[in-house]
Amino acid sequence: MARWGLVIDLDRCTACQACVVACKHENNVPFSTPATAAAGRLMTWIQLVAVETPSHGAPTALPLMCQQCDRPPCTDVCPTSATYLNPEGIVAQIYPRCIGCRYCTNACPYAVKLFNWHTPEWPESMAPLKNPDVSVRPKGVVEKCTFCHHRLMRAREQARADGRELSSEDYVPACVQTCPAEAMVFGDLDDPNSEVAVLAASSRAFRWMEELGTRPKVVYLREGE
Amino acid sequence: MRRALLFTGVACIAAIGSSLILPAAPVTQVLAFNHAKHAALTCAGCHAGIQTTQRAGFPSPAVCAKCHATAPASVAPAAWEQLQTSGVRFWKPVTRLPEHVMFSHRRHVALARLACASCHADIGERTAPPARMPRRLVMNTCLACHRAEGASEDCAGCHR
Ligand code: SF4
Ligand code: SF4
Repeated sequence: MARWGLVIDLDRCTACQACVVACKHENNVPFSTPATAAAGRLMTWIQLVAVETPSHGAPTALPLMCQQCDRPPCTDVCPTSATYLNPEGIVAQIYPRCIGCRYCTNACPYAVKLFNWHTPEWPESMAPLKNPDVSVRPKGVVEKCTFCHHRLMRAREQARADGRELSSEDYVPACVQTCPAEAMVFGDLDDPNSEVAVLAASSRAFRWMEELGTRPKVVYLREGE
Repeated sequence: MRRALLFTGVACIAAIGSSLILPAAPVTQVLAFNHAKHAALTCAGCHAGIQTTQRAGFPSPAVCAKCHATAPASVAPAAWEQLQTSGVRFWKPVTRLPEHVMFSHRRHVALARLACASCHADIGERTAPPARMPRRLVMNTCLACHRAEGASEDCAGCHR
């Protein structure tokens, strides 16, 4: 079984934020106002945060989404198993199970789990543009990046209909598909011949806050000084 | 105070219980379609897309007109004419899943070769449109089949 992972090359990323827009559109993530953002309630599954990367002095814009930890602290604390590590390494959110206790949002060291404080709303003109493969999360549940898991389900169905095995090219999350700088690569980390596995083993690779032992499956690349 | 609490508790239990036990609101169709009379046709003949897409389609008035050049005996000619000229899809779905459930007809019908009756029960033999879904579908209905067939039981596979 595949273990899906994402490599982000910070030397290529131009911080254009196309990935942020693509994710919002793909996953029916509602807009936030400056007021909600100021209150710390910004809804976005991916955002660029300014960080100091190891062995690189200048601040870097780091596209940060759920790191799909192999040892996720967030799932350990969920009292209802609404969030769990699935067999392919994706940390899933099952919204109707979530009781909104927000234990997981506090346990996640990357602060990428978002609580729906409000019923999501869109401008009327955008109402028909929602992605039917992704549910609209109600007020009171927690959500986050799922590596566009619905795209995996579609890709697997298409591969079966074509009578062939699923290949890494079939399943690409929206951010990876959109990145104009081609700074993102997605695939099976357990396949030693995959591009992600090769890149993840390169000397430029590091994982964000890996010292916590969360074993993220998002891998960043950055040339040292 | 205790009485009020007791009353609230009973009211809550009754509300939750009834929402679980009682089926969804009944559905009335514009036409009294008789499935049994159309048994010679295949399901996909009218419900286009069940083999190729996620959603099962309902036939447009033009699909009915392929066989029915004039109004069927049970339908008033004026009403038939109006449905034909308006061109709107007038059928209302009776089998509905919650918003958070992802069900693909192609995956189940074309790829897993599941019979329509597995979920839609005897709809094909009904002489009048059912007001409610002919088989009550709950998560265990799906899981029982998934377990028996060795299909995925990963929550995220069906809950979008
Ligand atoms: S990054 Fe946070 S939300 Fe994602 S798996 Fe790790 S702990 Fe959970
Ligand atoms: S907020 Fe929801 S997903 Fe998070 S720990 Fe509580 S029940 Fe689980």
